[in-house]
Amino acid sequence: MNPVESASSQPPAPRRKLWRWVAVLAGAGALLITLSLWNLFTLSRETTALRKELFDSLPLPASPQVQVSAGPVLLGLARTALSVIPDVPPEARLALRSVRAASVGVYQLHGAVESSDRVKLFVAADRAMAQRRWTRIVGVNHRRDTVLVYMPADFAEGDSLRVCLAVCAEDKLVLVSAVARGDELLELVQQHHRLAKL
Amino acid sequence: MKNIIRCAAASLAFSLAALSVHATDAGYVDLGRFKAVEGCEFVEVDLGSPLLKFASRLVAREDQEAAALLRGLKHVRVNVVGYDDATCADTTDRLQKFRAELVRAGWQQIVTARGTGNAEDVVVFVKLAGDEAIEGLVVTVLDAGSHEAVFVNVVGSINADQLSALGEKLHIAPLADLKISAASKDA
Repeated sequence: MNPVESASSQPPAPRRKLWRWVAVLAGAGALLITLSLWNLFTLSRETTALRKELFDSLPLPASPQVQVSAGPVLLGLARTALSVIPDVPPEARLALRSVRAASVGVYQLHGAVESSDRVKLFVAADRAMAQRRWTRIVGVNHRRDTVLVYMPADFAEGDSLRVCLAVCAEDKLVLVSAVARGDELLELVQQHHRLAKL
Repeated sequence: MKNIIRCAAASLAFSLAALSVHATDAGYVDLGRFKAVEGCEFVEVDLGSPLLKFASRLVAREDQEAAALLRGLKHVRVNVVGYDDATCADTTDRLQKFRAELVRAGWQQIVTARGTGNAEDVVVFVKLAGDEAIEGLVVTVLDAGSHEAVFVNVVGSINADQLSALGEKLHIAPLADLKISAASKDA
């Protein structure tokens, strides 16, 4: 048998397989980017629950001004990017290292929040967070400002710090949630203290 | 169905665990739930032992005294409840009953400062564990001038000479002013 003939009769399998892998990788990449973008503009679960309950309790319409989240992947990328940039203060690197996830939502309230509505905010927020086993550690109602801070009820020493807060000031509602590593926060404070002494 | 039973059992266990923590602490007082009154000041701070221990580690480098104080604490609860004319009687009545209950429960009244007119009415109670050690502290203030009632409960091991420092570190004004109040009372 002619060796040339024999070679041409075989299908070009390796090239087709390679294209298949490229397509799979491109699809996975696109999915990852879509998910990252979705996560970027979606609040964390706790903050979403808190927002829903607060919006339901307020008789005013509200429109989002900023709604952004950064999860471990995005913060990891930011940490990597920061590591190659020279002249970044060490505190900034440490601060970014300590934060595991963060979520911020700023909403414009169309109208004034009455005193009676502020009382309702307390009740609604407590209800939403209690269902998720979060407890209020700070609650302030002072003139036209309301501040609520929640933490998981089962928070134990050594756990990552998870905080969720809501601030209603004037015609703005701000929701923030963050997860930070306690040990690295402590290191940040200690480093700040060392730098302040220099 | 199994999930519902499991969730209910977990919730019950969680509640019982939370209750038992407080039940074993002689210095703990159930201040109850306060509701914010429309148009009135309302502040509530409720810090448990893990958070206080974390806070003590945070401040350890800058303020050893504060860190030592915080390390000994198990629970801090502060309530500032504003009242208006409609709720004035209820708030005053609740405060007076609360004070009477503390006396009945064996708490020692260490400071009483009552002014005239719109001045503050401050009463501080302690739960003693020995000659020097305090295992619980309650500060009650009725401020007719600013229409506010203040309830503070600090649970944990506190030395008598740390009381004023504790007030300063935790920004509990009636406690921080304790020396001044006591001195002015003596005067």
